[in-house]
Order: sequence, then structure tokens, then C-alpha cells
Amino acid sequence: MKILIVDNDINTVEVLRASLLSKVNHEIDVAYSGEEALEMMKKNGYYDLLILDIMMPKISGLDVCDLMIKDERLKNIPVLLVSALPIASKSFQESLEKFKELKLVKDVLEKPFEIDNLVNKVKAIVSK
Amino acid sequence: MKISKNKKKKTKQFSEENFGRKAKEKVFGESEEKLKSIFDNTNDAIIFLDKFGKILDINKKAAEIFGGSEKELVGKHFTKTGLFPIKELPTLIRNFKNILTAKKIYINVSFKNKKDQQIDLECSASLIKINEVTIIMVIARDFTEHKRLDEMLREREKRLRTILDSVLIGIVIIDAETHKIMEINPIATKMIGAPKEKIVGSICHKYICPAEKGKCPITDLGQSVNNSERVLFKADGKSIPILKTVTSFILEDRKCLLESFVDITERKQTETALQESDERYKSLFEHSLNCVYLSDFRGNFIDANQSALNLLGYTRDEITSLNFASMLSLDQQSIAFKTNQEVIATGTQKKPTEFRLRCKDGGYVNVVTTASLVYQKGKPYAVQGIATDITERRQTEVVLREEKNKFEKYFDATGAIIIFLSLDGKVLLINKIGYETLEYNKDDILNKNWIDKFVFEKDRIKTTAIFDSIIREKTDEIKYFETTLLTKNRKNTTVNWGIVLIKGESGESQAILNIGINITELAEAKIAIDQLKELNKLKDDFLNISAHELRTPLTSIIGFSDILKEQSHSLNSKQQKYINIINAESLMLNNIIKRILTITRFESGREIIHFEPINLTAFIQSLQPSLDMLLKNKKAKLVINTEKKDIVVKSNKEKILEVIYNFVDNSLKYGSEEQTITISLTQPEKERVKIAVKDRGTGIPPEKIDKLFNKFSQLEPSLVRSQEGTGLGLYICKLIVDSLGGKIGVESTLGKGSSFFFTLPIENVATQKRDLDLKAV
Repeated sequence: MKILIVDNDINTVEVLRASLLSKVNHEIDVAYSGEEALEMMKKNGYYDLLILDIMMPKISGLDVCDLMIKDERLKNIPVLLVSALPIASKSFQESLEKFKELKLVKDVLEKPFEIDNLVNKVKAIVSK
Repeated sequence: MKISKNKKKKTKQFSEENFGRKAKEKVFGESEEKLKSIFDNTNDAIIFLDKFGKILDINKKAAEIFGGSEKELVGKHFTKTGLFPIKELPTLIRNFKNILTAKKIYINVSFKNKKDQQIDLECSASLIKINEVTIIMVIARDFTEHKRLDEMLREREKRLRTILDSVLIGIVIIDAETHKIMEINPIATKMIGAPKEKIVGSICHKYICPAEKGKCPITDLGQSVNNSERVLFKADGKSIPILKTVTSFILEDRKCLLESFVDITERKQTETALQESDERYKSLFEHSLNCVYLSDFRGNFIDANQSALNLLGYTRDEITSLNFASMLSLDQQSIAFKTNQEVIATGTQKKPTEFRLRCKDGGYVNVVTTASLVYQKGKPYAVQGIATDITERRQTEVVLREEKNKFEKYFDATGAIIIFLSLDGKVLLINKIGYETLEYNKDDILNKNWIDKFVFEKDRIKTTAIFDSIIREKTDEIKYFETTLLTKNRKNTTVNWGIVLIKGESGESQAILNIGINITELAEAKIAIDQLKELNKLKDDFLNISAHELRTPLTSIIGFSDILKEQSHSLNSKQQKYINIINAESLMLNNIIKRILTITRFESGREIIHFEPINLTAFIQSLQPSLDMLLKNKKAKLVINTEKKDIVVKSNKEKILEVIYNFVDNSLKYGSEEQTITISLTQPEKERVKIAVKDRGTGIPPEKIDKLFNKFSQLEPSLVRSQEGTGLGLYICKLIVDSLGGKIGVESTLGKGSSFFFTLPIENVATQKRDLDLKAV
């Protein structure tokens, strides 16, 4: 199992990695921007899960999803979106629905999160 | 009868002799002279015929009637005398034969005699025997004259009837003794308005002058002719005035009254109208507020009404001895003279004249007079003048001027710009606010073209078009529009106008009234409001962003404290305690942020709620396990009571759950430790369902209930707050319930506990079923 964590906030990346490492035994890569994540996915080929923050400078999490959909090699990588934004804006909801329909985005995790909540969601996605 | 007896006697003796004149004379002799004289002088014609019809003898009268001599007739057969028309002969012959069998007959015979006179005879013919010789004696009486008279009478009656029937006056003939109506003509019948049969036989008083019952001018008062105005009573009960003449005359030995009358209703009306108009004139003359006077052609007063007398201070007697000119100054006298000439010549005067009249007390009054000729029986007999006292009008003009000043004051005092424009667009009038807004002096604006001088270039075409359209359409409609004005100092000035066309009494366009409100400040305020809205949006965005910025570090704090908690075996007890506090407090902080964000969403209208049909009964029952989780580590119990039937609402599960969680959370905070919390679902009304969470605890003081659902309600007694919480929970619940179309509330008894509840609207059963079916599909 290979998981890629993407967040521009170093601490958040660390919390996510530490939480997962404490509970599940997966190989974990990290990226600190959308560009970097895309680069790593293209370079390393396949990931079992992408834990992707939405609000990032330059390329947002949703932009990353858009690009993944257009890329044959990336469009099947399951995504767990992580957001500190109130997830109520209309355009956000619409994008979310779209990516869920396209079976790219599997779930959304709200920041801050409890470890159990994170682990449960991750387990649910990778078990499928 | 006498005659006939004599005749019989005579004829008896006569018949004893041979027939023929000579024989007769012989038979009668001298003693028979008397009888012969009778025979010859009687007024009846006597003819003797033999049984074959041959004339034996005739008397003088008969000869006279036949128009010939005895010789011409005696010895001839009666049919051969040439007297009777041929077509009459068979009848005569038949009658003659009848005599032979019936012995005596009566017939009437008509013929033309020898002198071509029409003769009508009434004959009695008898069969007599003299010396066994049967002869026929005819005694004939000439009734030609009688018949003629009779016919004349009939003709007269007919003529009278025609007159009676065709004459345009009503005629009634009355029996003078009984007063019964004997005869009535059609006009009278028509006037009475009943059928003739009904009227004839009635007592005359029933219809004609009932007032005179027993006082009939003819029968009772002995007058011979009466000519008077009376009243005729119609059959329908109405009455009409009539002019009646009564004459008495004798008809068939009876004294009768001939009443003839005419309907004078119209004349009466005319008379009444004339009288009324006369009275009206008199009344007008007397009561007119105008002064009315009559003078002769030289200006001597004949009469004047009270107003005139009052004005001049004279009595009626005094004024009739005065002349109009005597009240005037010399120069005015010449004007009066000219006017008088004009009136006499043309009957009226073209223009009213203004005079200054000297009153009895030496003072003066100003009057405007109009004079005209008045006529009596078609001839002018006086000059009638109508004078209006304008002394007061002069004073009124002063008052009006004051009113005008007042109007101008109001005109200036109003907060609106008021401008009157001529139809060609020039400023006729502008109020103070108007010229002050334009920053010009009033005189710099008056008579200038409004659009060219004072309307900002960009608005000129629009304004011109609006003016043109109201002038063209002649509409009464008020048009509203906005223009920017060109003020002296080029100050930005926006005015909202209402303009309307002013029309004269006959509907002609006169001017355009412009009423404007300077909305420059309003426009500026509008901009300010827009800016505030923008700022509010910025605030919301800021809250959203800062929420993100707050939550990112919180993620680390909560996350790492969680991890540390997991690894608590490597920490000492103090460290464990501190890390738990860090974790709990940061969760609390996160909770506050979440709630503030929720409220922001609701308040800015960005909260989107999806409605779907929910079987509320099943839904509430299914909550038991997750609610039990909240009670973990607590001594309280939770019971769910719902209605047995399915209650379906169109709502949102997550939102309902959030409210219930909040209520249960509150119950746990404020209720007693070992309480049983009851969640109930009831349907108190047909269209409303109620979900309540009841605790057993301290209850809420009534004075606090009102503020319970306000924002930050718990923060008020913050320093003495015994329970944790943001004080936003119930406020959020209220926002949610409101958005679900329900009502939120609480019923509380101090010392016993509280029941928090909310309601949700239910749709009708049919819709419910359909919704559930749809959901099942």
C-alpha cells in the first residue's frame, strides 16, 4: 500500500503522516504543493490513495483533481480530500459532486480531524 | 173618422144611383151638396174604382195630387194613367187583387205626378158594394210633405250628430231634472276616459263640476248661460281644468242642459309657468346679491332691489325720485349717456361699464354694470341694469395678493424643486430650492431655456423626448425620470423628477410643472450601501479565510495532542493531564469556530438545505444507538417515544439530527445526573409534527426563556457560567428550524425540568403517500 499526502502546511502533513503511521502500516510519500504531487504521481506511477488538501497556493486540490481526470494514468487513483474550508459554497459542492461521480474523490475529511476519523476513512477507501 | 162615416153615408146614397157624374148629381140633388162639398174639399184624396181597376171618380184633392184634371183620369184604368212607374205596376196590381179578397188594405204608393212632383201616398182601400155593384174606394193622404220634413229632420239630426262627434269641444246633454247624462260626444268621452255606455245614464256631477252638486247654475241658480272654469273628473280619478258653457233647451218636451267644455290644461300650465317665471323673476330681482334696478330711458329709477338699495343707502321711495346720472361725476355721466344710447339702440351693451356711484351717505361704491332693455308685451319699456359691487372685490384682490404671497412662501418653503416651464421649454417660475440647487440667482434662470441651460448634456435628449411626449399626448399622467443638473459650479446634482402637463379650464395645455427631489445624497447613500454590502461580503470571506487559517494550526494541535494521547504510556501523569487539556480545549476552540461559521452561512444565506421526504417515525426510532453514544460514561438514560403511524415530512435528516443532538447535549448539561431523557414524536395538529426532548433538571427561569434562542445567550452571565458551551447551540437550532419551516420552543418548570421542542410542517396525506412511494422506487 502506497499513500501520497499533499498539503502546503508542513505541520498538517506531519500530523497526517504520524497519525497514519501509528495506526496503519502503509508506505507514505508526501508532497507540499499540487505541482509536486502531480510530478510525483507521474514519476512514481501508482498510488493506492491520495490524501489531498484543497486549499493550496497556485494549484488547489480541486485543480489537481481536474488534471488527474484528464490523465489516463492518474484518473483511477482514489482521492481523500482534506479541507479546512466550510464545505458549503455552491461551486465547491458542484465540483465535489462531479469528482465523486467520476469516482475520483471517495470521501472528504474536515480539518481539524480526530485520528480515529482519519484512520476509518482511509481504511474504508483502501479496502475496496 | 167623422169624415169616413160621412163618406160612407154619402157613398151609400151615392152608390144607389147610376154611376157617372150626371147620375150622381141627380142622385144627390141639392141636399147632397154638403156631402159633395166635403168630397171635394177634404184634404184626403178620394178615388173610386170598379172591381176591374177603372177609375170611376176622383175628388179635387186627388186631381190636385195627381197633377191632372178629373177628365184626364176618370174612365181610365189606374194602370193606364201614366202616373205609376212601370216597375211598380205588378205590386200595385197584386195589391189591387188583394183588396178583392181582403176587403180592406193599407198601402203606401210613391210616384211622380203629371207635374213631375214626387208624391207619396198613404192609402186605405176598401171594397164596398153599392146596389150590388162592387166598387173600390181609395182614400189617400199625401204625406210627401211629412216625409220631406221627416227626412229634413233626420238630415238635421245627422248633421248635428256629425257636429257633435267631430267638434273639438266636449259636449254633454243632461236631463235638467234628473241630472242624468243623456248624450255625450266622443271628445267628451275621451276627456272623461270611460266608454260612452258607462257615462250615459250617470249623474252629471260624477264627472262634471262635482262642486256644484245642488248648486247647478242653471237648474238651481236660475241662470240661463254659464261660462266658467271648472274641473272635470276623469274616470281614473284625475282631474283636468276645463272651460265650460251650459245652455238649457227643450228636447222632446224635456228640459235639457247642453254642456260644452274644452280642456284648458295646457293653457293652465302656460299660465302657471308664466306666473312662476314672473315670480321667479321677482324673486331673483328681490333676492339677487347683485344690484338690479329699472330705469326709464332717461335714467330715472323706476325700481331697485334690496341689494341695490342697501348698496346706495336709499329707500325704495327715495330712489324712484332719483336719476342714475345724479349719482355720477361729470366725466362718468358722459359714459353713462353713451351706454344708455347703446342699450336703447341695440337692446344690450357689449361690455360692462365700471361706475363710481355716490351713495346717500356721501360715500362711494365701485360697481360694474350691464344694462339691457326689458320688454312688456313685446315693447321695450325700461332699462334694466345689473350692478355688481366691486368695492369688495378690490379688497378681495388685496387678500388674494396676500394669498399669492403665502403661496409663494409655501412654494419656496417646500423641500422639492418646483419649476413651471412654458410649452416651448422656458422657465416661467422657479422656487427658492430650485435656484439654490442650480446655484444661480432666480433672474438668471427665468425665461431661459431649461434643457439647454440647466440639464446636463447626457440627459438632454431623454428630457426633450419626455417633454415632447407629454405635450404631444396631452396626457394627465405624471412622468418620472432622473436627470443630472448643470449647476453654476458644475456640482454633481442628481434630481428625480415628476412632471405633469398643466391644462386650462377648457383643456388647453398651458405649462409643464416639474417637481424634483434632489437625490444626489440619496445616490451617494446608495453607493455607501453598496459599499457596505461589499464590506459585509468581505467580512464573510474574511471569516471563511480566517476559519481556514485558524483551523490549519488547530489541525496540528489536535492531531499531535491526539497522537500524544495515544502514546500516553510514555508520559508521566502530569504530562498526560496537560495533554488531555490541550486536546479538549483545542476541540472546544474548533467547535466555536465551526459554530460561528455555521451562523455566518445561515445569516449570509449561503446555507443550502436539501429537502427530501423523510419517514420521521422510522428516522427518530433509528436514532437510539447513536444517541446512546452521547450517553456513554453517563448515568442518564434515553427513551424514544413516537407515534405508531408513519409520519412523513419533507425535510433534511442531517439538520433534524443536529437540532436533536443539541437538545440532548443541553439536557445532559443542565439535567440531573441520573435523569431519563425522553425524546418524543407527536402530531398535535393535522399539519404539524412536534419533536421534543424532555429532561429532568433544574428548569429555566421564565424571564430567561425569551432570550434562550438569541445569539450568544449563554454569554450574558459569562462570569458565573457553570456550564461550558458557546451559547450558540440554541441559536443555531433556531436558524435550522426556521429554515426547515418549523418553530422552536421550550416548556420549562423550575425544579422539574425542561422540554425543548421544535415543529415541522407536514404535507397532506396524498402527497405524503406519493412521496414515500417515490422514495421506495
